[in-house]
Formats: sequence, C-alpha cells, structure tokens
Amino acid sequence: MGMAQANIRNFCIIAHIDHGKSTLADRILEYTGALTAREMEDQVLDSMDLERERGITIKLQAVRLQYKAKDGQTYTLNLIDTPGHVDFTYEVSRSLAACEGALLIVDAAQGIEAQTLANVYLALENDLEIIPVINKIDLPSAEPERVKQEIEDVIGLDASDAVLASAKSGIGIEEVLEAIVKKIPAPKGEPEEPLQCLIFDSFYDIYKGAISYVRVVQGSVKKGSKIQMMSTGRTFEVTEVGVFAPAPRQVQELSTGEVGFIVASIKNVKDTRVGDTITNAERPAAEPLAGYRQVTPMVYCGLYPVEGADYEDLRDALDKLRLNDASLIYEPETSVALGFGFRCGFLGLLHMEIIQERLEREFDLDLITTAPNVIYRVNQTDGEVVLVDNPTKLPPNQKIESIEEPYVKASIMVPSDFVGAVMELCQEKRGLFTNMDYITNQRVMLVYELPLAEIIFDFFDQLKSRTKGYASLDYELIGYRVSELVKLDILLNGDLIDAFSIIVHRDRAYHRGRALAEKLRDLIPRQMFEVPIQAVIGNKVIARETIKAIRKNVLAKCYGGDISRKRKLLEKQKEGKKRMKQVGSVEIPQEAFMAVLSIDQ
Amino acid sequence: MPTVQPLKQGWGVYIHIPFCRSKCAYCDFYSHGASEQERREYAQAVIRHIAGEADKWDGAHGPTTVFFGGGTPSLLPPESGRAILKQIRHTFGDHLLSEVTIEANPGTVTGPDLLQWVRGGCNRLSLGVQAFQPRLLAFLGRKHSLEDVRGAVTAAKQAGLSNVNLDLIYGIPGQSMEDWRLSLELALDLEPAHLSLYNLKPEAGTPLALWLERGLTGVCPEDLEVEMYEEARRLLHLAGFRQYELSNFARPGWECRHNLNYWHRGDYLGFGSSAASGVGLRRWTWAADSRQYVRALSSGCDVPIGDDEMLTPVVAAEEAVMLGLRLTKGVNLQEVLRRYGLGERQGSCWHKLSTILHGKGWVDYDGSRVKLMPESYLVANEIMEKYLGEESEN
Repeated sequence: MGMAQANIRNFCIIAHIDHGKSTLADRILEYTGALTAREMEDQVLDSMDLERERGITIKLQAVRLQYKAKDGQTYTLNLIDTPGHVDFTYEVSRSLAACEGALLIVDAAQGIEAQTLANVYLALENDLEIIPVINKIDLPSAEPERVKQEIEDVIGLDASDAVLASAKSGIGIEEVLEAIVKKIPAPKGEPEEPLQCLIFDSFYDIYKGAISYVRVVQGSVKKGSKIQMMSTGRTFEVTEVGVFAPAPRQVQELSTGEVGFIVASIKNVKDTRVGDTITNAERPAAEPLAGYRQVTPMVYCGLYPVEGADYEDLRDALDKLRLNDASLIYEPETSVALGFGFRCGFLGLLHMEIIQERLEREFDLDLITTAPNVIYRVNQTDGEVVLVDNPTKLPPNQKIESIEEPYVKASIMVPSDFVGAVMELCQEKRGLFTNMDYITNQRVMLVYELPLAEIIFDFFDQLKSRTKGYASLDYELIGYRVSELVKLDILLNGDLIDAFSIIVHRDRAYHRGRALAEKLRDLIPRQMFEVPIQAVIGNKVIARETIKAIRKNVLAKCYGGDISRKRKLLEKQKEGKKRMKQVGSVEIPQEAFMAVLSIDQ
Repeated sequence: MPTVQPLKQGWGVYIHIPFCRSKCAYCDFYSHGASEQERREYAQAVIRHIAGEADKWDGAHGPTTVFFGGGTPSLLPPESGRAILKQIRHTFGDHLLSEVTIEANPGTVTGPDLLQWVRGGCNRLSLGVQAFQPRLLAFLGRKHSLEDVRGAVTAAKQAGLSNVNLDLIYGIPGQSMEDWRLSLELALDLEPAHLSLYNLKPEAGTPLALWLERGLTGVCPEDLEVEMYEEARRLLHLAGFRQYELSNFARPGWECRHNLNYWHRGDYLGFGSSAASGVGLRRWTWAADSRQYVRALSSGCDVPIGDDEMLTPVVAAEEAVMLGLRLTKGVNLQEVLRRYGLGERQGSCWHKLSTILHGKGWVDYDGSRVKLMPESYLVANEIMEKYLGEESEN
C-alpha cells in the first residue's frame, strides 16, 4: 500500500434528522479549509433548495477534504453524505458500502432514535468503524453521560471515548477529525490489480452525459482509460476523472481507495446503474463487486396535469427527474375523471411529496395527485396472481379469491410515558404486537407488524402528534399477508369518480367512507346545483352527503364607478375555478383528491 | 386627449360630491367632512373642470341625464348645485336633458333647499333610507330618524318632485324577515316611483368588514337573505312595481335613465374627485383627493388621474354582456358583437355558451338576446363569469 492510499479515510455520517449532521459537515469543511467561512453557504452538502428548506438530505454527495493531522501528516478525507429519512434507507446502504467508517451523531439531549439505530446496524453489517459523536453538548438540556450509556446499552458500542461536540458552536471539530484519522482504517485493495469501481450514485449533466460517482476498490482509472460496465458489458472511453472539493475538479487519476467521479460520454443514465462495477475493458476484473439490492417502490399514486395540455410537459419533467433519481418509476395511465396522467411509484411518502414539489416548483406544473396506495397482490379464482398498483384496477369481486397486502416490521422508539398512546395507535392501525424492550428506564422500543397501507395513510403524523413529537419510527418490508380488503368508491352527482377510489380493510370501510364523504362535502365548493356524494362498496351505498347549491353570488351594486372593479372581481373568480378540475358537471379542487389522507384528523 | 371625441347619444354626466356628515359603517365610497367654505370651493372647481372639458368632447346632443352622487350631494349649497347644472347646460347643451337626480340623506334635506334644486332643473330625488328600524339604522351608522324620512318625502312632494327613489338594505346582521317586510311596507306607504334594494356587502376596509373579521358582529344567514330578496320581489310586484335590474324596481316608465345608461354600457363623463368616466373603450377616474382636485383646478393644472384603462374590444364587449345581464330584459349578443366589431368566432363562442346555459334553465336565450331566468338573479355572478375570457380559451 502506497503512502497516498495509507492516508485516505473514507467516511459517512449517520444521524437522525435535526441531530446536526449538516452543521457538523459544514464545520468539517470549514475547518479543513475546503471552504472559507466567508465562502461558506450554510449547509453546503444539502444543495437542493428543497433539501435546505426541509432540513433533510435526499441525494448523496461526496466531498474530498485535505486534513493536516496532529501527527504531522496530511490525510485525504472523503465524506460521503447519507440521507437521514426512513424513505431513503436504500440510499444509506449505498453510501455505507463506499466507506470504511462512519460518524454516529447523537443529540446530547434526545438520545438515539429508531432511524439512527437502523442505520448503525446497516453500518455494522458493512464492517464499518463507528465513531460516536455526541452533539449539541452546549444545550442546557444536554446529558452526554446518559447518552453515552444509551449508546453502550442499545448498540453495544464502547462510547467511553465518544467525541463531545457542538457543531453549531464549533466545539470538538478537531477531535472529530483526529478520531477519523486514528480510528478509521485506510482503504484496502491493490492499485496494481484490475480495476474495480463501485458506482454509488449517478447524475445526468446535459453537457457531459451521465456522470458516475465511484469508489475505486482496486486498480486505478484515468482519462483515456477504456472502461466496461460489468452488468451490461458496454464499454466507454473515459473523458474526465475528478473529485468534488467540494466544487468538481479534474484529477490525473483515481486510484485505489479514492472517491470521485468518472465522465465517459455516456448518453444513457441506465448505463451507469447504481451498484454496478466499472472495470477496465482491456484488463477486466474477474468478478464484479457485491452490488445493491434493486430498489422497490412501496407507494404509488397518480399524477395528473390540471390542464390536459400539460401532459407532455409532465412526461418530460418526469423523464428529467428520473435521470437523477433511479428510484422514481412511472408509467402512463388514464383516469375517467382526470384524463391522461402517470402512475408513479415512490420509496415512501416523503419521496412522493418531494417529487411532487419538484415537479411543481422546478417545472412549473399544476398537478393533481391522487391518494397514495401500496401494491396489492390479488389471488384470482382462476389461480392467476395479479399485482394491483391502482385501486381502479382491482379485478371484479367474483374473480377475487383473496387479496394480500404488504406488511412491515415497524420499530418505534418512544419515551416510556407514551407507550400506551403508541400501542393504542398501532392497535387502531391493525398492528400485531411483536416485542417491547426497555432500552433505558425512560425509553422503550416497541416492535409491531403493521400493514404498510396504514403507515402511508397517516401513521407517521398520528405517531408524532400522539407522542408530542418524541417517537421515532423505522420500518422494513417483511412480506405479503392476506387481508379482508374491499374497494371503496365515491360517486359525485351519481357518477363514479375513479380517482377517489381506495382499497380499505373491511372493518374500516364504513368509517372511512363516511369520513371521506364528509371531507369531500367540505372541500368541494358549492356549485350551481345540488351535488350528492355517495360512498359505495360494490352496489351498497354506505354513506351519503350533499353539497348544497349556491344560493347567492351576486353584486348588488354596479354603477359607473364600479364597473372595472366588478369585472376584475368576476375575472378573479373565474381564474380561481380554472385551478379546479372539471369532472363531469362538477368542479373539484386539487386538494380534494388527497382528501382521504386527512380524514382521520 | 388631443382630438375631439364623440359621445354616444344618451350619455350621462355624473357629479361626485364627496362630503358626508359622518361615515356609514358599510360605505366604501370616497367621502369626508368639509366646511361650507370648502364645499363652495369644491363646486367652483367642478364648474371649472366642466368648462375646461368643453373642447375635448363632441357632446353635440348634450347629456340625457345628470346625477349628483356621493357622498351626500344634499350637503352641497343648493345655489352651488344650480351653478354646476348651469355650467353643464352651457358647455354641453341641454335640449336632450330629461333626468337630473340628486342623492340625499333624509336628515340633510329641507323644503327650501329642495325647491332651489328643482328650480335649477333637478327632477329626481334618491333618498338613502336603508331601513325603518332605529336599531338597524344605528348599526349601519345612519344618523337620520324615521321622522326625517317622512319629512324628506313630504318636502320633495311639496317642491314638486314626483320622481322619488328610496334605497333599502337587506341582509343586515340582526335584521329579521319581519323587519324587512315592515321596511318594504312603510316604504311603499310613502308612494315612491322607484325602489333600490341592496344586499349589504362588507366591502374591504369598511368598519363593517372589520367588525366581521374581529367577530364583533355576526352575519345575516344566507338563506334568510335569499328569502328577503324573494319576498321583496313578490311584494313589489303586487304593489305594481316592475323589476328592471337585479337590485332595482320602478313603476312602469319611472326607471332611472342615468343608471340604465351604465347597464347599456353607454358613455358617461364624471366630474369631481374620484368620479369615474367611461367613453368608448376608455375608462378613467379622477384622483380621490378633493383638496388636490380643488388645487389643480384653481391653479389651472391638469386634474390628476387615478385609474386609467384602455380596454380591448373583446373585454369591452364582455363588460357589455356582464352589465346587460343585470337587466331583466337581458342583452342582445348580436348587437354587442356588432357594436364592438367582433367576428364570428366570438359570436359562436357566446352562442354555444348561451345554448348550454339555456339548456340548464339558467338563462333564456332566443338566438340573439340572452337574459337571466329570475331563479338565477341571485347567482348572476356564476353566469356572468362564464362570458368573461371565453375567447382566449378557444
């Protein structure tokens, strides 16, 4: 192993949302001089606007830093960012595979959260060296000793020399960097062996084509190298290799242990599949690296343009987003009520909201989103198994032998005071109790098996509100189970509105139907005529509401001085209606299509 | 305005008198208190303003109507009113002048004053009665009493004014159906020629809107307002009145010509601060600042303009439909298309729309004239809206 490789440290940061990951990353960048304080934009790693607004990290980023340690040597540190939300567990596992170590940031007042725990276990599975960092130690409510104990009890890590830090105040930054240098091993691998690069992310640039973010596991790659994608066998000539420091910078070569990017005039982002191994076409490696499991969308919904004419724009926008987000999937579908649109699959609800917001913000589209649902597995009487990603595609009743829905194992970490409230919620959401562990005297880990459909419905919001925000949640798919499910339809003015159809558990159908009808009555503005709303299962009406007709909308006075103002008033009224979707004879506002999500509040 | 512009026959003159003794809770017109001296100066400014406009307009036929609105025009010294009318006659001619209206608050008119106005040419009086219940008048911020109303009507008759309008308001918080019926009956007892019935609307920035926002007052239930309107239509019909506009009723032949000109989208010139004018495709207002207005005219400067817009023929035509639909006789779409030089495309657009609305029973449409069905009067906005911006969608 050469000098250079011995001085490389590849690490990521594991933290719960709000525990200070981005701030710590900023301080490290600042301290190592990658950016001066003046140049520094707050939270550099979270570069998308949305990420900054929501305080979360969505896409991975990698930054190279130079650090002169106390031992007098200069080290190259590669910080690979990880997302901190349950929707993006998949992306976390990608960044972990590119590292030898991880900083585990724990809030000195709040302690370990469920999601952090899940990610630490992932890191341990990947044989990463974990450095505990207790952050926000200058808060009045900080209890670093208690948190240390918690880390030892819960994870079984030795936390005696955990770094005590406050990223916000710049305390403990040097100690963090020293710990990285001393504790995290240098990357292994032989520079003379055939090239093996792990693609842990990719990005599409309109000028350069698909750019691969890679970790070189062995061998080296430089401009002019002929590379081969091991899964497809396709070959490309490298036009550029470089690193992010944090601005992209070309380098001569990426060698064993290094992290950076490769540009090779790759037109199609599919040729830089995340998890694939890049090798040298002239001297290929015998084996690819262990890849990632293929990502499976868990949540589906329909996305429709408010204006039918925007359909092509929506398609283009989705195509563009997909270039940088392989986990987004979509296919065209049509709705009787909404016209042409797309059925889209997402990693989770947050992912769905982010995509929706990006479409509206970055592509200036007016969208209607239908209520999200999971994928159901329908066992038909003829023995065929059908996957249903849209309630309207459910086969007719007589053809259904049984319906299976996805279940998850949900781990909920919560202060012991709220155990009762959480158990009650899980019960309501058809949960099966599996386990309860006292982590400390005050903190409990509850494990339930829950239908995923209930989680995406409003579980997270309910969990937060019933525990005053103290509970944290992690879940993983554990398989499909047969459930008593039925399709609930909504009729407006006698017409079935397919975009309102949902699949619900039989025991809940009556309640949901009634609540949905009431919600729609409140959300749909009055029309020129009375509009009956019916909730229906099969042929049976289970709830009925009425939207009364408008009785009065008139301008009493309209004389010489009023005409302009009154005309503008009517124009504004008309403009407001344009944002609504005309379905049959009824005008429906966008938010009504998501009404089902908020009916239990 | 460098060239002389023609005014369409039937045009009217509006004079804005921005003075009030006190501000009513629901009023969003431009008005304020003023000394007698200020009022005279204001009248002088209006006279100068009219004189200065003489060579801008070809009003060869002269105006058909003059309307003194406000504010409280009855606060204007009658001799000032006479002087203004004299200037109008002098500047534009008066051989077509047939209706001169003055608005008044019942508490501010006296017999001698009215007589002076009549001698100056005024032949119509519009009284802001609003209600006959002291508690409702107090809520609205109206300072007059029931005796004032009776006194004003008697004074008008003695002065020879037979064309009297009474304004009434329905939908006042706390107003019951009995209150409303009584107001209508008492109003009819005064034998007016014309009645305007207005639904109380909290305009932004008025005390009423503020009270509602702060929860200091409730609202009149919508269903009750609807019943009040229907009840009024029924009672007035029985009393021999004919509804000719959404809020206006008159004995046959006594409709307000000045206002009909607005609803026909005719031309009108306004004088006085905040007064609006509309000629052809242009509409503008003079700035709503009476002191600035007086200063400009006494120093020979241009009168400052508030809003000023030039409509496209399509927008003007849409306005004509919006205004025409207020009339119970409706609006002739063919005529509107012709008047604004619009083509077949707009015509077929409106035809399609009118046919659909006719099919739903919301309007009556015979292929050229479209009018609201009485059941649609109170949802007129929903229908008018459909005629706006129709062309751009096709």
